[in-house]
Amino acid sequence: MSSQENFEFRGKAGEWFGIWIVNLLLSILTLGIYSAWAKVRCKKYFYQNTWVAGRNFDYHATGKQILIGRLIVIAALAVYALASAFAPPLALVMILILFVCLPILVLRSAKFNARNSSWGNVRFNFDGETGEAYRVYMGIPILVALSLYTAFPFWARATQRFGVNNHTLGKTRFHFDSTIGPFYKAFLFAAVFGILGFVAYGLYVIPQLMELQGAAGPELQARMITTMMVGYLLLLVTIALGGVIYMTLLRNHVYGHTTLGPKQHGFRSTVSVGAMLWLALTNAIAVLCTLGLMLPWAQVRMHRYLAQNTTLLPNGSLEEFTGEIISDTNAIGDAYSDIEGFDLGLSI
Amino acid sequence: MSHPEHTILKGRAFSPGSSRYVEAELSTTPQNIILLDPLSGRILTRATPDQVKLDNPVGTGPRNVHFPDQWMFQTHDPQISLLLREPLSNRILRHFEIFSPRLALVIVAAFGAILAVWKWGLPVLVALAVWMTPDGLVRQIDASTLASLDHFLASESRLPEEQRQRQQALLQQLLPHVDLPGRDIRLTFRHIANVGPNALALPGGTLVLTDDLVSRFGEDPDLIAGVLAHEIGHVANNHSLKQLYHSLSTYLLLALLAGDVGPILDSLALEGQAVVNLSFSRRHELEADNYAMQLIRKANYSTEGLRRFFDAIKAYDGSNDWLSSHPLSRDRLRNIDSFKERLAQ
Repeated sequence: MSSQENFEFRGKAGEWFGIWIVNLLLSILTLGIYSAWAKVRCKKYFYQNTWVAGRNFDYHATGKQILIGRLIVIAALAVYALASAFAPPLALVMILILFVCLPILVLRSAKFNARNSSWGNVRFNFDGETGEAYRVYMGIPILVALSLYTAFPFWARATQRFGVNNHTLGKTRFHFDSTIGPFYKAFLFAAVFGILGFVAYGLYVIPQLMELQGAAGPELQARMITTMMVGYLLLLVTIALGGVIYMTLLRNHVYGHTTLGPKQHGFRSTVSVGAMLWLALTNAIAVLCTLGLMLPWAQVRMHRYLAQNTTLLPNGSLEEFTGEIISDTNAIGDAYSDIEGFDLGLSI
Repeated sequence: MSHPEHTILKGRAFSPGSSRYVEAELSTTPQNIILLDPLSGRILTRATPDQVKLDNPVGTGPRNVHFPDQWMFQTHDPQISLLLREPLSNRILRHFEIFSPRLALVIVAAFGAILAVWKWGLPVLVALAVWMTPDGLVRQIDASTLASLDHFLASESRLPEEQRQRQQALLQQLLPHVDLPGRDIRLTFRHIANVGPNALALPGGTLVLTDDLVSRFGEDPDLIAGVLAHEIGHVANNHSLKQLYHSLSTYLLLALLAGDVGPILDSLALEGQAVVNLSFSRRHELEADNYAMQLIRKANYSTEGLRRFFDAIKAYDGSNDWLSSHPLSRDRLRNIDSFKERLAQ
C-alpha cells in the first residue's frame, strides 16, 4: 500500500488569540505562576489541532507538574545570580555543575515531553541512555570546538540520530540515519548567509565611521551611534534568517530520512527556504507593529505552513501502534529548556 | 433503563494505549458510564463516573474521555461537558477564551496588568528579594567585587596620603546624617585607567573614588561631598541589588510569558531587555542625585558642588540618553534646579 497522509493544522488564529490573551492576563495577574497552566493550554491547543491519518495529537502534562519544575529551576537561577555577585568562584563552580548536568537535563526534558505526548491513544516515549546523552551533548561538542567548528555538521547529525532513534510511538521505534553531505550543505548555506550579513554590515558601517572619524560634535556622535545601532539590528536579523535557512534545510532532510517501525512508514517535509524566510520576516514585522497582539496569528500561520508541508507515507496499516502509558511528572528538565531555550535540538 | 437523564453521545473509542479505533457510543446511568460498540452492541468498557476523567479541552477541538483501563472516547459533541460534570472553573475559563468583542476588555486588562506589574508588581518582588538578602551576604559582595576590581581593572591609588585623609574627613562630616543599619560606609581610592573622573558604590557601603576625580576636584569640598552623597544614595536605595533582581525577574517573566515568539523576535527581545534595564539605571541615578541633595543640605554643604561636577563632565555625554546608563548632565542639572525650587516654596 503506498498512499500519503498529509498533516493538517486545524487551529484558527481567532480562537488561539482568545486562549492566548486570557493566558497572558492570568499569567501577569499571578506574577507568572499561571504561566505553567498557560503553557499546558498552549501545547494542548497546538497538539490537539494537529491531525494526521484521522487522529490528532495531545499533550498530557499538568500545570502543577510544570510549576514545580519551574520553581526548582528558578530557585537554582536565583542562587546562581547571587553567587555570581558575591562569590564569583562559587558561580564558576555552579556553571561547571550545570555543564556536567546539561546532558541529563536534556534527556529528562525529552523523556517528559515524549511521555506526555500522544497520537490517537498511543503515547510517545523517549528512551535515550545517559551515557549516550553525555557523548552527544558533551563529548562531541568538545571535539567540534577543537576542530574550530568545521566539524559542526557531525554534531548536528549526532543530535538528530540521538533525538529520532530514541523516540518511539508506543513500542514502535523511529529511525533516522544519513550521510554527512546534506548536513554540510545546510551548514555552508547558513554560514555563507551569515558571512554575507557581516560583509554588508561592514560595508554599511565602516565608510560612515571613516567619514565621522575625529569629529566630536554631539550631532555627529548621535549619527554614528544611530548608524551602528541600525547596522547591529540588521546584523541580528540576518543571523536569525541564517538560522531559519539552516533549520529549513535540515528539517526537510531529517523528515525524508526518518522511518517508523519495521514496516518503515516514511515521512516527507517540503518546506521551502523562500517561504520560511518570508514567513519569519513578515511575522516578526506584524508582531512588532501590533505590540505583540498579532503573535497568535503569526504562530498559527507558521504552524499551518509547517503542517501543510509535512506528509506521512504509510506503508501498511496504521492501526497497530500500541504501548503503555508511562507516567512522568518530573518537569525540571522541561522547565530548564523553557527558561534557557536549550533542548534536544530536533529539527521538527 | 428509562432514567430521564439517559443520554447517548456519538464518537470514537480508541483501544487502550492504541491507535486503533471504532465508532462508538457513550451512555451514562447514575451509577455507570458505558462505552459501547453500536454495531455489535458489545460493551467495550464501563466505569463509575468518578473513575472517568474528562480531559481539559482547549478551544473547540474534540473532547477526550479517559477510562481507568485506558480506553479513550473522543467526541465532538459539546454535551459531554455537562454530562461528565466538567468543573465550573474550566467552563468559565473556556467561556472567556471565546473570540468575541468581549475579548477587547481582556486585551485592555492585559495591557493594564502589564503596566501595573511593571510599575508596582516588579518593584514589590524586587523589594521583597532585597529585604530577604542577608546583610552579611551584601558585605561579602563588596569584598569580592573589590577584589575582582583590583585584579582586572584597578591598581593602588597614587594619591598623596594627605589628600586621601582630607576626603576621608569629608565623609566623616556626612556620616552623622546617614542612618543605614546593616551597611558599612567606607571610602577607598583606586587608580582606574580610562574611566576618567568617576566614583562607584558597592551594595554593602564601600565607596570608591578614582584618582582622576580626586586630583581634578579634590580642592572643592562641596563637589566631593556631592559625589560621596550621591554614591551613598545608591547604597541607601539598594540600587545595585535592585538592578540584579530586576534584570533577573524581567528575564524570567519574558521567558515564561512570551513562549515561542519566532526566530527573529527571539534575538531582538534580548536587546530590548538591555535597553529597558538602562532606563532603570538612569532612574536610579536621578534617585541618588535627589538623596545626595538632601544629605548635602543636612551636612551644610552647598549643592553648587554637584552642579559644578555635572558641568565639568558634560563633555563625556552623548547626545542621546536612551542608550546610556546615566542621564545626560543637562537633565541632572535641571533636576538640581527643580529640587531648589521645591525647597524655596
